[in-house]
Amino acid sequence: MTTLAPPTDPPVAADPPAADTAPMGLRPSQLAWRRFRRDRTGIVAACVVAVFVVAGLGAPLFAKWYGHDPYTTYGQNRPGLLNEFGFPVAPNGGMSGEFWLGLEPGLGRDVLTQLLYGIRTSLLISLAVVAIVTVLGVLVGVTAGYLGGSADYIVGRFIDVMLSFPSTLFFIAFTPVVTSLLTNPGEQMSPLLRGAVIVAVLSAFGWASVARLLRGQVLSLRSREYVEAARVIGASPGRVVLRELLPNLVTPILVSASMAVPTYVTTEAALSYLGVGMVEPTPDWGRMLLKGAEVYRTDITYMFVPGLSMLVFVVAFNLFGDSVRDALDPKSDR
Amino acid sequence: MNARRRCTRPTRVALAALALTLGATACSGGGGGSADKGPTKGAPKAQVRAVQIGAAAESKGPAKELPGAKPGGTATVLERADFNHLDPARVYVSHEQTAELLISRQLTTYKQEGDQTTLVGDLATDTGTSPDGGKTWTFTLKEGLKYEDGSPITAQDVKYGVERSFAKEITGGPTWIQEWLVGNTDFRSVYDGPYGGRELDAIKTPDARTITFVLPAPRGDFPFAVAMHTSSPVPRAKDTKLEFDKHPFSSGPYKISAREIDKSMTMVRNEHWDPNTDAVRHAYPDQWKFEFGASNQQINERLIAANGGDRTAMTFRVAVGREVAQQVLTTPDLKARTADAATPYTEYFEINNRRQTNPKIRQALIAAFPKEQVRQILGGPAYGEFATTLMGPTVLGFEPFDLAGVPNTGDVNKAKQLLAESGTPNPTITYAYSQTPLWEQVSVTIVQALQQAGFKVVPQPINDKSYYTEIGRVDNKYDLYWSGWGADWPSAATVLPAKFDGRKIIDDGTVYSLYNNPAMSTEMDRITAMSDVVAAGREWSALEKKIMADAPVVPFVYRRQLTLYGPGLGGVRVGFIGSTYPIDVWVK
Repeated sequence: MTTLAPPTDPPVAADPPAADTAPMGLRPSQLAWRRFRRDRTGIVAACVVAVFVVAGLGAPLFAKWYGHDPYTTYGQNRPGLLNEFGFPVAPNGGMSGEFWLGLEPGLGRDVLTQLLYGIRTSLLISLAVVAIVTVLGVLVGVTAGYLGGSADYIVGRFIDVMLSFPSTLFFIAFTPVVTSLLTNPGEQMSPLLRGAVIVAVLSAFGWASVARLLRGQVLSLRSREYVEAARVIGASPGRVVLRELLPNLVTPILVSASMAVPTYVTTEAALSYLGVGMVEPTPDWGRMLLKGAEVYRTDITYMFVPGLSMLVFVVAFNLFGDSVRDALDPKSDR
Repeated sequence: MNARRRCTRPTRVALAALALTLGATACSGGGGGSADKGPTKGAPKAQVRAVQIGAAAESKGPAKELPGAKPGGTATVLERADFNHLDPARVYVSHEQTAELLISRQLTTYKQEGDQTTLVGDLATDTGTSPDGGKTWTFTLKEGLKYEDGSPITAQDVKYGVERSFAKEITGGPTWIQEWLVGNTDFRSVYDGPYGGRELDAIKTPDARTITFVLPAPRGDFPFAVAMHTSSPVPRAKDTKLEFDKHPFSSGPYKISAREIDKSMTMVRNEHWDPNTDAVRHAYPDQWKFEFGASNQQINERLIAANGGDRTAMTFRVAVGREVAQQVLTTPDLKARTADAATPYTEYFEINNRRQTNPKIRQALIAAFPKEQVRQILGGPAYGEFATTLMGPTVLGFEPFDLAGVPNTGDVNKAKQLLAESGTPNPTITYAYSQTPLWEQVSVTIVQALQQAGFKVVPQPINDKSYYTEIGRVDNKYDLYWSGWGADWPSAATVLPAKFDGRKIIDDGTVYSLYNNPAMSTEMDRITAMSDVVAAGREWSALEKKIMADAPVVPFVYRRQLTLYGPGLGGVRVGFIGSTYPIDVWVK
């Protein structure tokens, strides 16, 4: 697809890497990158998201340098940090030069590393879900859209059923069942397996909306002239899907994936908040919020830390997603 | 036997509120205070004087006027859940028994004045007489006793009330009297209640005001047992069997006027109740309103705010949880609005004595156990005082002792040393807990402390709903698990035999530690048969020390009851059974 650069493009001189290329010759991805760079909100949001991702995935390294880990109960091991009610003695939730964001009430673990490890847990789970959901959704959606007819009808109705299912209720009811099926009595479920269960349960529903989106896109694309032309000259269905359709679906796939990440982060947090997510001692964002809601009367700092960070993360990721869409597909309306 | 008064599990206390009522007056000033304070501040006094058996004069009504009290008004009670049972023969949970104080009367009851608790006659003129050292017990009813419809309360009704507690439909209540009357723990096999037309010959009612119980074996504790609600009178004509549970026929100072199950209930005055016949109930308010369904956190926040109708609100059992404990205990204004006392409940971490047969390992568990850290998570001093004994301070004959002699934070070195002596320096311990956020956090600290001492710990979550069933299995695969137990009356006879008599080990029983020492069981039989309850109290305490020498459980805390009430109420206090009592309450 060749598109002319919009007339508002900056002068070539302002763009050194592109200096020796005429705007006429830009590839779509380069154009998108240009548009994205001009979106100031998008850049800021992307930086915030990057900070979260780096902080989350790099949590163990940071903990090593910082000297505290999210598992040791500092407040309980060392007298003077928590009072007899289990709340931090120092003001603002026990913030100090040693514990930057304070101590967790009760167990006295370090809040900063808890938060970073919690972000890591949530991010890894949601990235895994998004990967699975996108692959599954693309497969089902493209197949249904391309085949059409009764195959499309059956898949379409199935997607309708999945979408109308009260998924949150299902998560709450189903997660403990899966958990008990997979563990022997007398054994504790490993955090990895529990994470896998959450990923599986979330993916079981998540693919449907992606599939529906792509089915619609494929339905409209497959009657376009260039697809017809490819068919007429005898291209195999595989070639039509892979070479003609998929490249034109990259935009909706990328947009839906980038919007899905914050959704799954909050869903995972909600599951933990409702008691069916990750369990102690695995640090978790949602569980921090749950505890914050409990102790806010005495230690509001503990509620602000996970609450504000999640707010910032979700807003930033959504803005980032919006900017990605604007950059990739400027004609779509918000 | 299923008779037990189980602790309200703190698990439920914590599964609270999703309601983020923001705009709270919370400050970010931090916890403050210091961690190295010696005695916990604001700790309640334990019962200082043993329960007395009152004379006939103390059983006479009316109850002594309280300074400042006045009749009238409406008091509100906020509870998390509706009462499961209100049939007096079926109540066994403390807050149900508390509600029962308003709508039913028993042969005997407890009078509390200051520090002194006295057993007095309620329906009966005294606490009962026994001419033969505890085998035959005779009670004479007071004059002028009436039900809510004005008809007289008779000895035959008391007999019928006890008889119906044998029926297979009428389950859930205490079973002491039934077992003692027929001399068999499977009492329903001997007598199956009055619905088949049979009477129980062991209870005799020569006239309308005299009732005599004839037991096969002497029971010195009988006057205490009839203070439980099994001895409430029920007229045969008004017995609606299972329906009675929803709308009992009142013999107390109030009657139920409206009830919407799980939502609300209203009690109004029973105008036929004569205060001159009642030595303990004041019944100042004209009306009691009950509201059910809010979470514990919501109830506590409503009581702190005390807006509108909540000014005259109280709660029977919603304890000040860890989320508000510090705010309540350090704000003088709020602290003045709390009812606070030690309760008959003792909590343990039970050791499975069938799996952990080496006493050194059990002692090491006691030595390593982080009581203080665990209590800090559960609410700190508001939760209770650290325990080192099996029975609580409200039990007759209680004598504090500490055989382990370790600090409340646990003693890693002593535990290591004990493990070295045991021959297995790194035994594996499966710690079972109810799967709730609160107990998960507790497990973190327990696992950490035991691992430091050298134990290999496998934490094992159990579904919250089936927790007691799972740990109650005789062949359970766990080594350490929490449980709580409250004395039914202030005698160790309702604690030690229930918890440590090896002959009572059955599935879903109460001997969760599976401790079985025949010598101790024999001794229990001997003390149970003693007719002098005070002398028996001393013997129980001596026996308790011997049992504790076997280290069968980790004593954790003596529970404290700390509840808030609105500023518009007076006379709110923690009662004898460990809940907050309505019988002295007045509306200011």
